[in-house]
Amino acid sequence: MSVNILDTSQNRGRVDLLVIQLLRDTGIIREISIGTMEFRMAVQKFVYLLQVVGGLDLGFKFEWLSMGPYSKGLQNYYQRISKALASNLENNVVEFSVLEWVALEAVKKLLFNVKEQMGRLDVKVLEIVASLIMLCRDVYPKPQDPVEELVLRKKLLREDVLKIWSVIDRFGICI
Amino acid sequence: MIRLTSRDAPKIHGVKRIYDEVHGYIELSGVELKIVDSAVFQRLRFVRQLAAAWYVYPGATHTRFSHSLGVMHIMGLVTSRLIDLGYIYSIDDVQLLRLAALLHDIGHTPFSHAIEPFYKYKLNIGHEDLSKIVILENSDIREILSSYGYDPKTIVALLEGRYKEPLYNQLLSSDVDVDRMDYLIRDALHTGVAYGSIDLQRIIATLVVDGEGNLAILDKGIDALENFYLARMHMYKTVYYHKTLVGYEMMLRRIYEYMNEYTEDPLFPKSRDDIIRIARSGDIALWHDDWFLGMMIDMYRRGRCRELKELIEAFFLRRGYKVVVDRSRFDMNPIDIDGDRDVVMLKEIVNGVKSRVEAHQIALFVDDIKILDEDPYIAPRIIVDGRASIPITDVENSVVRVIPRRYHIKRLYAIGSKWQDVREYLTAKGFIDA
Repeated sequence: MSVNILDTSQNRGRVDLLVIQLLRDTGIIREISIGTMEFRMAVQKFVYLLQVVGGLDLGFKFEWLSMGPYSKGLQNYYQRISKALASNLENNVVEFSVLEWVALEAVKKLLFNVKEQMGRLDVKVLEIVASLIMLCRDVYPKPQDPVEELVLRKKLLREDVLKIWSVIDRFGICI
Repeated sequence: MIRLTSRDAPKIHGVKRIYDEVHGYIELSGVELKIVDSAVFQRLRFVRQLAAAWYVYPGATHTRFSHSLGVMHIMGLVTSRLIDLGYIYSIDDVQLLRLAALLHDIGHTPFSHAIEPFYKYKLNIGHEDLSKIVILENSDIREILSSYGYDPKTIVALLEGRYKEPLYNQLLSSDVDVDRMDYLIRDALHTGVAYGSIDLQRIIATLVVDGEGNLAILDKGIDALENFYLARMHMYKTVYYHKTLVGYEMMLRRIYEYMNEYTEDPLFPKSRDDIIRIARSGDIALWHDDWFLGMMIDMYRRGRCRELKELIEAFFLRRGYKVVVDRSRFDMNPIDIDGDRDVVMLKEIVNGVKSRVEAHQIALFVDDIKILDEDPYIAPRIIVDGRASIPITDVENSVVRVIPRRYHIKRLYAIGSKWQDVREYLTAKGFIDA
């Protein structure tokens, strides 16, 4: 059989399950409506965090765009995740591999610490977390001060960004 | 940000001009000329832009070489516009972007998209990764860039969309990027598909940057943008995924798979390290379509493997994979591989027909092609009434709202010599009408 979508579709098959788990466990599911722009943003940032913070190789390549890390490949998954959420599949018990559990726990640990620091965890905060991590790890040339770069670029409150940065810094995510 | 007038705008100093069939004279700066003259770039003269499309469209023999020059030229036009508007103010940035455009296809394999899925599947390496390897590992390219003060890693970051300036990443990789602008025009010209062409001048003349720093089009350019999407949709169907063309590309890939197994040649890299080795040694300069065709002839004459000989003969005599069942269609949603009835049926047929044909004589092709980025925060944005910037997919009167988002391709192919047998089997089983 020839090499095409039938082969590559297998590798990323569990992305939807992982994202649904994070949506549920972090409580972000309650902040968004399925299928909206915020929903898509949450999917994008969760997968980025699963790869970078969780160390899970899901094979998505992320670009640095005005709204932070973005992978075109994830456009194929919005509908799958929406469908699964809509059909209440999110309540099903899913068995994850050890690596997947480790990744989920690492992302949750980071986000819960951010929530504690900020007093909230919504899609906007998620965007700042993922953007700061991308700025300090993947963007080239690396900006001297990721906080300043993000504050200037997105006209955010410096205080908020600094709070989130302090958590990221503590976790030693930036290399 | 400093706003420059067009009078102040810095310009790239051209040291040589090359005549291009699409854009006319293309000017090259000193560093660009050095890159073009390097062996790894000259290789692109022997990598055809549309793989085996010349088997369907005889004129489609244009190469990655002319396309790369064209993309660089368009990047020059776009950056001139953005300089005039004050969104780019450094001549170094313009040169950097032109170099990234020039080098964006440097890593294509022989027969490009026909062969590349092989490496994607086997080594998880796509042509973007190959470009990265060539730029970072080939000493000619690295030294040319460095001697003019350009960091190869910056070029790679631009090509991977990881550059610090999101606007530049969009110029190189978005729905309306410089790559697409060139290939749609060039491919339409060489195939003769008239409805594949676009109004490049209008698109560039209406390009702006919105308040969020995203590329956008003024509403007076919306017709040109709509035409761009329609052209793209037509080109996907009539050229890029033409049934016969896809059949020959699959055949080439299968031949490559066999030859990779049977041939110990450095130009059949078996690992990422092997690829790095040929990029470093410069051997990669010969890794192109003509080399592969030569290897095919050599292999055919030696005839060591029966299946391979049959495939090569079918390719050269134009008796390759011919479509038996085609369930392709446009759709608004991504394909659901597991639940799609057509895909399930095609898989069933493949299993059922095994007693009549050998594995290499049949091929299943399933793909899901995205016609437009509909994600609201990366879809091309339109500046409406000089104020708000909204995704084109949200513009009320735009035809883009109803353009299909996806092209689902679902086809079964059989080699020419077995095509009739397979047809008869499918008719007998009721899969197709007689």
